[in-house]
Amino acid sequence: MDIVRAKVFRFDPEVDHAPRFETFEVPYVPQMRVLDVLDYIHETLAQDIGYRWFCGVQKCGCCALRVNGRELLACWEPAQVDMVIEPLKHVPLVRDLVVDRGPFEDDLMRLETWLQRSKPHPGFPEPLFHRAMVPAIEALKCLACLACQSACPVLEDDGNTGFIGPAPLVQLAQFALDPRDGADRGRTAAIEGGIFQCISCYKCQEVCPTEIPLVDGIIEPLKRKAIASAPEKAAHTRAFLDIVEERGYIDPVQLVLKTRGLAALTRPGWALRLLLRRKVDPRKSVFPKRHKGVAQVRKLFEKMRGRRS
Amino acid sequence: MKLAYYPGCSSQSTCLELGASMAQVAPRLGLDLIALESASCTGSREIRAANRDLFLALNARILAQAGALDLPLMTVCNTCTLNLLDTRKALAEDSETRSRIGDVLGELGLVYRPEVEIDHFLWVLLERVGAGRLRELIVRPLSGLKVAAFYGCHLIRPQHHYGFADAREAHMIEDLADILGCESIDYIGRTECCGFHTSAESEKVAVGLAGRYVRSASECGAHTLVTPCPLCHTVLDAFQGQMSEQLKTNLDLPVLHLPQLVGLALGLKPADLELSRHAVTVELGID
Amino acid sequence: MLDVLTTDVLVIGGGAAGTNAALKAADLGVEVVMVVKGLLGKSGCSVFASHLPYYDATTEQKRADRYRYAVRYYNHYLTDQEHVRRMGQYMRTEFFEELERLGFYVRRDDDGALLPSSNRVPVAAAYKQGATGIVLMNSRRRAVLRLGLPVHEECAATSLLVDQGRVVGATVLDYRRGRLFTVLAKSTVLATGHADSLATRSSATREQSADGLAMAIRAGAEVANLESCWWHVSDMRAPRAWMRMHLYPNPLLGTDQSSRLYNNIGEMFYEQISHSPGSSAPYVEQIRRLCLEVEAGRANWDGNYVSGYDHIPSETILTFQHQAKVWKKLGLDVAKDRLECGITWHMRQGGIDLDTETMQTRLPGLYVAGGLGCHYLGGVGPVSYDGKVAGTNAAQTAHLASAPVLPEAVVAAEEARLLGYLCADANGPRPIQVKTKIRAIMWELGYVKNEAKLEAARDALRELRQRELSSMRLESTSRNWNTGWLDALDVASMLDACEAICRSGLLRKESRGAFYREDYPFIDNDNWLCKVILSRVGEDNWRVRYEPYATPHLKPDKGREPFFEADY
Repeated sequence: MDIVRAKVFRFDPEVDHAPRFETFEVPYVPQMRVLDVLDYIHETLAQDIGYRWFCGVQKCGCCALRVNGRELLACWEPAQVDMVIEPLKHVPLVRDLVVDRGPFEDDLMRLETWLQRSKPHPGFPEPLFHRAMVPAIEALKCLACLACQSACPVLEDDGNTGFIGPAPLVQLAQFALDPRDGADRGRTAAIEGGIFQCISCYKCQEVCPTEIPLVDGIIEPLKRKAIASAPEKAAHTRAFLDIVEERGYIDPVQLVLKTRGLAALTRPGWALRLLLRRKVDPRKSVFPKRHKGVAQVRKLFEKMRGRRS
Repeated sequence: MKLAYYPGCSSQSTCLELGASMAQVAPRLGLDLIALESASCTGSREIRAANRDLFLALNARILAQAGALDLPLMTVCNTCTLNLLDTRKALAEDSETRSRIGDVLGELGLVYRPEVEIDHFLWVLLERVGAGRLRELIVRPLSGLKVAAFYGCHLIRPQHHYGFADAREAHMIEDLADILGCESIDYIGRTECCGFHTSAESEKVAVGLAGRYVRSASECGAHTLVTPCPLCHTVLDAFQGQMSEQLKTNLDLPVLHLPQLVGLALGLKPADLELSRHAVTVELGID
Repeated sequence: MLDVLTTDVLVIGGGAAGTNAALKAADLGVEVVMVVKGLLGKSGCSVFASHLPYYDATTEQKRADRYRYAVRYYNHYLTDQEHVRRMGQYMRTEFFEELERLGFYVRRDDDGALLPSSNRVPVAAAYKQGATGIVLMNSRRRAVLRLGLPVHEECAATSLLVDQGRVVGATVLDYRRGRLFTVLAKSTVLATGHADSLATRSSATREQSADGLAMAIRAGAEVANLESCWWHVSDMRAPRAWMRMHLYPNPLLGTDQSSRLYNNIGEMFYEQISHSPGSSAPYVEQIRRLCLEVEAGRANWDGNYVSGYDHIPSETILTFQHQAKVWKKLGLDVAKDRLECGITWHMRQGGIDLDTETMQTRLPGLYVAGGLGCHYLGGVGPVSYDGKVAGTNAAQTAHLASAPVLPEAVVAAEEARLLGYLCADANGPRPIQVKTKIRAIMWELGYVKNEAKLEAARDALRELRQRELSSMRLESTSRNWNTGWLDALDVASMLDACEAICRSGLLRKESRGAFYREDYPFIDNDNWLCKVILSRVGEDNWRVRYEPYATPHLKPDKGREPFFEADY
């Protein structure tokens, strides 16, 4: 490749009526990063282009943006021959490719993302095994780059679901998974975090530049704590467990009824619509056939009761 | 060929047409499906979040049952597939977990088998049946049918199971559609999330997200959506009415399960495939 | 009239030094305002810290090794030896204690014991060596924000306000909004660090353009040993963004080995454990050896030599080293592959002169903490000590000081200067282009210096100042995140700083540490174990003086020795 074509999102709210795209041709240099392309544009073609970066080497996390619809760190990823370069989503825009990290920082204050020791620090070095820190270390890899926040579909259209998004939750997990922390992080995850609104799509994990196992290593452990600390927020989960324990399989009609309670009857939800359409056989819900494996399933539930992981 | 078959919960409750069409299509593909009748739910997203050991045990039990038959295991739901793959990985990577779960299964007289192959029906079609054999079996090529693939998250993410650095690279359903004679439509939403997993509490998120994708598929000229996951199907089909309300437009785009699309190409009738159960009427000009 | 914020202590700079200064000042109950050019805890070089000096004082030998390292190998005797003692005490008894209390996890082994490196001057790290700075600065950021201290980010301090010889605060450009304001403070702590992006290849971050140094020079402060600037050697040659990607040559966790450098015929010419056993920050020796290779045609300054860890079991590297991800990203194998490197302008040893007991400069009201000072090279641990001392003293002075009066004429002049750059009406050089030229001049000056090169660089900088500084024009005069406007301010700072660096280089007639003059290729402790101190009056009037260093605890073994035979 000799030339890189970069179509860059431009919008300066102070002078522009509307966003636009500006296309630049940049000579390709082997191993070029997206950041190198932006630097070239800044140095020779459009000196006023707004983009944020500091370290250039995946330490500060400040150069995250979208290339061809995909979140990445500009300093870390190679340039592609044709690129549409846009700012992160779900974070307010300052200008061009620069976003406002203020709301995220406010979220972190609300979540109280600092160590709240269950016992006073006994002095350095405190008793601590490496193994005990391994879960928290996954979260410590976080650069707070906000790529995951941009990728999260629940945050589209201003969210309005109460879900805080994956980025603040990873920062919360740094302490929730730290054996020295004593605050009720599960409650925080449930209430301030709205963690049960996560739809488990793995898009956050897909874009994380430091390869944090966001779903298995962050969201699910936080959910586990949330279920224990704020069971009133986890009606759906508790209902699910109860039904599977009772029947061996899940019955969605039962699930919706148990989760939503009588409200499900007064405002017909999807499960009831399915009943009307013959998609669901009501008899199966009301008179379930006994599942062949239910005895063993109930034994497993019994044996595993009270375990977390 | 014989395969252990894990039908999952949806094909026996909210997507009865999936189970029925699978039963019709399998013999025509030369698949002898041995259903694991006492297999439990894999736990969807809820059990794995609430109690990881219980989740592993339930899934390991399913794998033990397939292993006892000495057969590869076929699934028909994305989330089931991911749950089973995650269980196999967790037990492979940590010997302490493996022995802990193994002990519990042992008390039920079961032996965990780590080598069980786990294949979604989509992979069975492309890799076990294969493009060549599939072409031979086609009775009615679906030429002219414009199909929009909706993959569903749990068959394309995370990378460590499925290999896509960018899930948008996934192409299996388009490959299948091509074999069946269909034209694949590109649109916004192919590899996005339907939002199913918070819909028990409220379908608001699912309707909001998927509505956009259904509209895009429709605007791009699709005649039908096709999805390998009954959970996605439930959103795309059963919630479509609400999507139309929210977007103030009449969407009316049918949604097919994989075996239904295949079944049509194999010459099966809409009634065989129980298309009438769908919330969105399926009128494709194919009888 | 600009907005004025009034406070007791103004801290400029948000790295390890600045955050500690702010925290300690706040502890004493005074009002603190922070002004950070980038983002607190994210910009600057503190995030790059790979590890921490592990002060194992269990034996006299270990204390002696550590002290010798700090004085001889890390500062080449250009340091206040009492300060090194006090700082050592802090590192031994307070630094790790405080850090861990905040929650910082110092890497243990599977039995729960601390896991420092095994060499004579050991290092300890966060969960992985290479990730230390990121985690440490995140802790500090949270600690500052928790207290509710006002932190003005993406705000560049542009000048120190001096009123009747006293520093009373600073003017600031909020470049996100394009808004100028003033902070009026009883005490000001400058903590803008020791890394500046002054050469074509530099490991400094985007926003580091010697502003702290330039502001101090313009305010008339004394600056010392500016010629002493360290280079990195094992930074990647390409891509350009990755010239900051450091393949750490220091002692490693989990092994007694260190990385190696190889010339273009595959010969190993440097490894810390053999060539600098007494130093855990071996850059000075690295570049000295590289110089021999370059002169023999077996390497270039910007490439044609490689670095690797392939002689070390890859599992050790993958377990303990954050940088292993670089190999993975490039699809290479850390067990086999070596990466091509080039030198980068890295960190300044010299800086603003100060009283190490209080961190106060000779300008009343002005304190300095960290790499910006001339008293000690740097490192997140040692600069945290500076921050503590500066913050404490700045706060105590603030208690006693009278409320400063805003020097309105000074503010007005500075406002005029800044707005003067916000001009797009004619065709002039773009500031970024002038920056590129400055960096090219300093790159050309390079490592091997002599009188002619230093004069040429100094003159080229003067010419740029005369020809281009006032004719720079921007692409737009929008106030909203105008990178060009910020670049213009950076140019002014860089010209001030680089000129001082060249002048200082011309004055020191010896070689020492990272400073090599081929016309004076020897260390000369008989004549040059001293500070080279400069100060500027007005635009052009430079004053020079020299101040010998006391060597109460450690003396150099030789009075004069050939530079390439010395081990420091």
